[in-house]
Amino acid sequence: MVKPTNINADHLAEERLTCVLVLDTFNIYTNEIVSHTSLPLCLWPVDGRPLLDYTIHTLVRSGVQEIILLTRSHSYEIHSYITNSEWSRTYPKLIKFVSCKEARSLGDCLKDLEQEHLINDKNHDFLLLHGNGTLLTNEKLDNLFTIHKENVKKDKNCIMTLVYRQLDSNYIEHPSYTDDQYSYIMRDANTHRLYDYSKEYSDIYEIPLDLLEKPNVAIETLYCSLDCHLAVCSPDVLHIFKDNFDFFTMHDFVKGVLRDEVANQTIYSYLYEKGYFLPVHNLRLYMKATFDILRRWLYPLVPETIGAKHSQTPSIVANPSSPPLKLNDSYLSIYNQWYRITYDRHNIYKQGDIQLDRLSNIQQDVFIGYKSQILSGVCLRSSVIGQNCTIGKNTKIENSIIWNHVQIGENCLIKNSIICDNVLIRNNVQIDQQCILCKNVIIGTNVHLNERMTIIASNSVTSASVVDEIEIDDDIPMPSKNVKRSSSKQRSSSTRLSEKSFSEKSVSSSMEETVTSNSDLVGADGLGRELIFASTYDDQTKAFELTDDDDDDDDEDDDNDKNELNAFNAWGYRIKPIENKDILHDDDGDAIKSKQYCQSMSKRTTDQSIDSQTGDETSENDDDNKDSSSDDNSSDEGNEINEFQQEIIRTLERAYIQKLNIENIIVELNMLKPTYAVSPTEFDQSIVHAVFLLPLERKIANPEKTTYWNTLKLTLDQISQFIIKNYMKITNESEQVLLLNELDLICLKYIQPIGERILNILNYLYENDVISEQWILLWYKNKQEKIKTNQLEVKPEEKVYYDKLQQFVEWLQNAESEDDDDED
Amino acid sequence: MKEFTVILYAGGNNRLSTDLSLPKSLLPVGNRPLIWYNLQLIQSHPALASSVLLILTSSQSRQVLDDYLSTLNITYELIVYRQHHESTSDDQQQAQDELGTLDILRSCYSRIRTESICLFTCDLYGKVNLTPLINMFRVRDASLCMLLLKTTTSSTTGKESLVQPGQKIKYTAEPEFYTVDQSTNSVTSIRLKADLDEYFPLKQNILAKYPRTIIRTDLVDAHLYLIKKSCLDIAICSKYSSFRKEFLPKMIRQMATGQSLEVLISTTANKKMMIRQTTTDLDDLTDLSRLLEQYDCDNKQIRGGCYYSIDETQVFRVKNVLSYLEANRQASSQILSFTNEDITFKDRLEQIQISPDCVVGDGHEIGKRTTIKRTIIGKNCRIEDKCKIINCVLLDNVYVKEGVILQNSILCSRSTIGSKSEILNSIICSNQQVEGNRKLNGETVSPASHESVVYMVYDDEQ
Repeated sequence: MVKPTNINADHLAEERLTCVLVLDTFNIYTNEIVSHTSLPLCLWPVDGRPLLDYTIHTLVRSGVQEIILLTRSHSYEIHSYITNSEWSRTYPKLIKFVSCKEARSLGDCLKDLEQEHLINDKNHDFLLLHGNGTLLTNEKLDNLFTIHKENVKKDKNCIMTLVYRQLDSNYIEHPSYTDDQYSYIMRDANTHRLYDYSKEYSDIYEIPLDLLEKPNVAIETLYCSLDCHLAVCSPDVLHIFKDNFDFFTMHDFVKGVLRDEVANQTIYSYLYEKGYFLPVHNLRLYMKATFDILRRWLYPLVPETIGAKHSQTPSIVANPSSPPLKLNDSYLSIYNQWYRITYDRHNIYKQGDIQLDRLSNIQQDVFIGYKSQILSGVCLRSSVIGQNCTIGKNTKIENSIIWNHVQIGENCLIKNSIICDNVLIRNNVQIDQQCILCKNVIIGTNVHLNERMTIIASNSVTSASVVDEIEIDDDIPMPSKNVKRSSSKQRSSSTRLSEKSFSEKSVSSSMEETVTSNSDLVGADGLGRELIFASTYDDQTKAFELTDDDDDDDDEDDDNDKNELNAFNAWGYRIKPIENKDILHDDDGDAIKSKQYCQSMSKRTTDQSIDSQTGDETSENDDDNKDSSSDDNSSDEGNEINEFQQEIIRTLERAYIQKLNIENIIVELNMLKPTYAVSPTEFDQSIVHAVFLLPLERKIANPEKTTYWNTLKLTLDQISQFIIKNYMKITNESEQVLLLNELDLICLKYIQPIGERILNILNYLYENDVISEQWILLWYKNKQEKIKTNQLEVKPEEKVYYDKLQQFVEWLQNAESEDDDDED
Repeated sequence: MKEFTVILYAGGNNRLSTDLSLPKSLLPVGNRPLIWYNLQLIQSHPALASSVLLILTSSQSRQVLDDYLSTLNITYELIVYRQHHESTSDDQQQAQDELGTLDILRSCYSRIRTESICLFTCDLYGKVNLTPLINMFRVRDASLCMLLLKTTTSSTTGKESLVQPGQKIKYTAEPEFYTVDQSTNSVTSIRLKADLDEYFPLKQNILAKYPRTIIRTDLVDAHLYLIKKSCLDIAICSKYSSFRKEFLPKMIRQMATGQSLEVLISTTANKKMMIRQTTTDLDDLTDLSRLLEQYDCDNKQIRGGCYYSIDETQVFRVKNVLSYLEANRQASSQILSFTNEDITFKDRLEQIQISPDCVVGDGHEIGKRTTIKRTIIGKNCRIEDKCKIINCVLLDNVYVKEGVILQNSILCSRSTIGSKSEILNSIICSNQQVEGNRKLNGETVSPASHESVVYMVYDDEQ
C-alpha cells in the first residue's frame, strides 16, 4: 500500500487528515436532470474522467488519508466506480462510503455520518466538501488544517473555518459565479472571524455600530466571493447538526451558530487570493469546469497526467476476478478502460485511436475520445467528444460536451450544450444555448432547438428507437459492429434498471410507460420530450404524470428546503424574481438574465439618485419605508390604500422640502402605483387625500404660527396644484367630480381645520384653473338635491362647512352672471 | 504650465492666548510658527514647491501673517476670505465664525488656474511623505486623493503619563467610518457617526462594485486633499458649505455607485450658470473673461475615483492641548529633518542645568541653579534663580520669578509667575499673572471675563 506522501511529517505522525465529500447538490432541478442521464453529477465526464477524479486527486495531493463519500442517490454507481477504479487499488483504505438514502439535505447526511462514528476523536478535524462534493482546484488543501488549528488555538470556540476564493473581477461578469452563490459576509479583517453571513438579497446590509466600535475589530466585507463549498470542521459540527434538526444546509448552520449567543461558538473564514477554485454544483459550472480543464487552468492537473495515473493496470479491468460488483454498467465501464491521451498544441487531446478526417477543422481546446469518428468538414472548438462518437460531415460544434456513443448527423450546429450518452442527432439539426439532451434522445432532421431546453427520452427502450438507429445507418456510413455495441448497451442499461430495487425509477412505471415523444419538438423522426418541472410551471399537469414517478422522493423535499436551494435551477440561475424588485425575471430567461440583474441594479441606483439629491437621510428612510410597506403586500385592501396614501404624503412632503422637479414627482408617483396594486380610482382618491392632508399630518413650516390654510397654500403653490392638474384634468368630468367628492369627504371629516376653509380652497383651485366652475356648480347641484331628498344628512357641526360652500357657489354664480352681463 | 495650485488655509483663531492678533497659523511650535512647518512640507515635494501658493486668511490676521511670511523666501499670494455670509438668509443657522471650507474656497475660486489643486489646513504637523499620495493622484487619474492618519491614542514618548494641562475639557473626537478597498486604495464611503443610528448601512450596489472592503474606524482625516478642478467645480456649485462633512461623503457615494456628480449641484439654475475657467496661465482679466464659457460637467473627468493614502509616521493635527504639547516635544527633531538645523539649546551656562532636548529662544535670561528639561522656551523670556521647569511650553516674553516649579504646563506670552509658585498641569493665558506662593494643579488661569471660553481647542475647521 502506498501512502500519500508530500505532506509534512508532523501531520502524519499526529493524525489522519480526513475529508468528507457530500456527493449531492440537493437541488431538485439538478437531480431531476441528472436522473435522466446515466450518471450522477459527480461522475459526469470531463475529458474522459469523471469530475470526482479531479477532486480525489486534489485531496490525495494534499495528503488526505481518508476520504468519506456520503452518497444519497446513485450510490450504486458511485460505489461501483470507486471500487473498480485505480483509487481502490492504489489506496485500498483511502475511500469509505456512507450511504444516506433517506437524507434530504446536507444536515441529514451529516447526521448519518455522525451515527457511523467514523469521526470520533475529539481533535479530529475534517474537511467538509459539500454542494456535490466536486471541487476543482490546483491548490493543496492541507494548509487549511493548519489554519483551522491556529484559529482554534486563538479562539477555543472556533468550530469551523469556511473557505472562499476571492473573485478578481465584478462578480456578475465572472464566469465562476452563479446566482446560487450569492452571499454577503462580514468578518474581521485581521482574525477573519465571521460576524454576519447572509445569502439573501438585500439593498442595504447593516452592521451594528457597537461591533464597529469594539477595539481591535476591523470589519471587512466580502460580497459574492466564490464559495468553495469547503469547510474545515471540528467534530463538534456534526453534533450541532445532530442537535439542531432544523439545520438543513450549511447556510442554516452558519446562521444558526452565529446567532446562537449561548453556545458562543465561532466560525472563521479563509479567503484564497490565488489559485484555481471551482466548486461544481450546477450544470453551468460543470461546463465551465470541463473547458477550464481543457484550457489547462488546473495545471498540474491536466487530462494526460490524470489519465496516466489510471494507466498502471489496464489489464485488470478485463479481468473479472477483483470487482465484487458486476461490471455490466456500460456507462461506468468507460472509465475503466484506459487509452493513452496525446496532447497536441492548441490544447487538442486525442484519446487512443480516433478517426479524424483530414479535412476536419479542429480549432482549439478539444478532447476527442477513443474510437470516435470525425468526418470531413467538421469544425470543433472548445468541445469534448466522448468515446465511440460519430460526427457527421460539415457539422459545427462549439462549447459543447458530448458524452459517449453519440451520433451526430451532417450539417448540424451545436452550441453550448450537453449531449449525454446514446443520443442520436440527425441531419441539419441546430441546437442552441444550454440545451441538455439526456440519454437515448433522438433529434429528428431539420429540428431547431431553442435555448435552454432539457430533452429527455422515455425510460424504456422500445423497438422503435432501435429501428431508428438502423435507419440512420443509411445516412451515415458506420461500421456495423458499432451499432450492435451501442444497442446492446442500451439493452443492458434497461436490464440494470429493472434489477436495481433502489433505483429512482420504479419498475412498474417503466413497464407501463409508453413512448411519448413530442414530435413538434424533436421532429417526426425524433424521440424525446421536454423535461418540465412540476414546481416551476403552472401548465405542467399533463407532463407531470411522466416526471411524477421519478419525483416521489423529492416531492416532500420541495416543501422543506425550497426556499434555500430550489430557488435556483440546474444552471444556477435564480428562478424566482428577487423580491422588492421592479424588474420581472421571466422563468425562461437565459444568459442575459444576469445582465438584466445588473441593469435592474443600476436602474435602482439612478432612482435613488433622484432622492439623494439633497437629504440623504430622508431618502434612506423612504427606501426603508417602501421596502417595509411593500413587504406587507398581503395585508388587506384598506390598509394597502391607507399605506399607499401615506406613501404619497411622504413623497409630496419630501418633494416640497427638497423642491423637487414636478416631472420627477409625477414619475415617482406613477412608479408607486404598481407597487401597491391600487385601482386608478383609488389612486386618484389617494392623491387628493394626500394633497389636502399633507399640511395637516406633517408640520412643514413653523407649526406654531401658520394655520392649516397657509401651509396648504404653500404646498399648493409649489407642487400640489400641478399634481392635481396632472391627474385630474379640468376637462374630464368624472375626474373633476371625483376630486370634488373626495374634497367633500375630507372636509366633512376634518371640519375644524379644513372644512371651514373650503371657501379659500375652492377659490384657490378655481383661480388656478384646477377646477372649472362648471363642475363645481354641477357637483353642488347634485349635492343639494341629495340633501333635499334626505339622502344626505347635514349634522349641526357640519353646518359651517355647508354655509361656506354655499357662500362660494353663490359668489361663483354671481361672478358668472356678471361676466355674462359684461359680455352683453 | 503648473500642475498644482496649493491652497493653504491659514484662517482659524487660536484660543490659547486671548490675544486674537495671533492667528492659529502663527502659534509657535518650537519657536517657529505652525505655518512654517506646512511651508516646509510644501517645499519638500518638487511638484508642490513649484506651484502657485495661495494662503487663505481672515482679514484680522492678514497683516501679521503677511509680516511673517514676507520674512521667508517664498512666493505666495494672500487671499482674504470674507468672514461672514453675505446674506443673512434665515436657513443659515450657523454661527458667523463657522464658515465652511467651501464658503471660503468660493471666495478664492477665481484664482485657481490649474487642473489639480492641493488643499490643506495649516494645523497638519509632521513630516508627511507626500510622494505616494501625489503619485497615486497622478497614476490613477484620481478625482480626489486624501491623506488619512492613524489615530494616535497616546503618543507617549516619555515615561510620565500624559496629563492634559489646564481645566479638564472633554475632548471627544467624532468617530468616522472610512470604508476602503485596500487592494485599490479607494475610499468607497465616509460616514460620520453622528449620521448613523444603530446600524452602519452598506448599500448593495456599492458592495457589488467593491466586494471586499474594510471599514476602518482607526483613521482620521488629515485635511490634506488633492482634487481635480472638475471635481472642485461641482463642490463650489453645490449648496454645501462644509467640504469635509457634507460634500465629501456625498461625492464619494456618488462616485462609488458610478453616478454623475451633477446631482450635487444645488439648483438647476446653478447648473446652467456653471462656467469653467480655462486653465491657461492668462493673467489678463479681459482675456480671462473671454474664455469663460459654458461648462457642462464632463463625467469622464470626474470618474477618476477617490483614493486614500495612510501615513504611518507620526503625523497629526494640532488641534487640542495635548497635540500642541506633543508637537512642541517633536519640534526640534522635526526642524532637524526639514532643514537640518539643530535648534536645541547648546550653550553651556554656569550653574544652570538645561537638558539637550530643550529649545530656548533668543534674548533669554536664565537665573542660576535653574533646571530645565524637555521644555520649549520662547523669545525674551526671563527666568529667575532656582526654578525647575519640566515638560513645559513657554511662549514669548514670559517672566518666571524665583523658585518656581513648573511641570507639564503651558505659559502663554507675557504671563508672569510669582515666586515660589508651584504649577502643575496648567495653562496660564497670555498677560496673566500668578501671584507668589500659589499652587496650581490642572487649572486654567485666564482673564475673568473669558473664563468659560478659554480652553485650547482650536477651531476645528471643516
